[in-house]
Amino acid sequence: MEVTREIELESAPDQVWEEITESDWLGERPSIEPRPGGDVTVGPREGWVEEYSPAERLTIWWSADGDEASRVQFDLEETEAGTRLTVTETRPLSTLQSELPRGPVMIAA
Amino acid sequence: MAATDAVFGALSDGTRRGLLAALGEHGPATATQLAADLPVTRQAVSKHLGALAAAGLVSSERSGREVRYRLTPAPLSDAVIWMAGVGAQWDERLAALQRRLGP
Repeated sequence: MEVTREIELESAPDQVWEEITESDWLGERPSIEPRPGGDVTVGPREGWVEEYSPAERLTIWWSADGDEASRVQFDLEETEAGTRLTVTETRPLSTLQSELPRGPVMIAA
Repeated sequence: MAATDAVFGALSDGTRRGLLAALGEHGPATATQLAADLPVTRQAVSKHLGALAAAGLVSSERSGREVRYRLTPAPLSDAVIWMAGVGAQWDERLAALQRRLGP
């Protein structure tokens, strides 16, 4: 399960980065600790930081109210006009689960 | 594969994804009820529901003078509903980001 969106913005990557990590764009009272393993709180969602590469890539995991966790990746790419922002949200855990074998597994001796 | 193409064609539109998300969240509803929460007319909602029905994502049933629409249980539906909901959220968030950073 994957959702991807791409948008062209007329602002430099560092401005876009600041808006993503420091403004309340993603939700109320946001807090994104600027290091891998750091805590993430955005509105009703909580999670942690996987990758924090300023003006290039932010990858976080989040979930709300005990929902299954999503992995959200923001990729920033400098363009002539400003920044191309690509957002990818996936649910890697459910994919993993559906790929696990169902029922007993036979192992050849 | 034609069925999958129809599904993803139907899901290519933000309003239609929003309609699926609304039906998933609140259960069966009429076009009038769905239009109340959206910045589009009831006629536009009916047209979008027609496209979703053609792709097999919703079904309709007459109740009195109104037609109620519900999500169709399908093998794809869990993933489709998640993608519709999450996709619609990112469409909104990214439009808001563009406004915030805009000139």
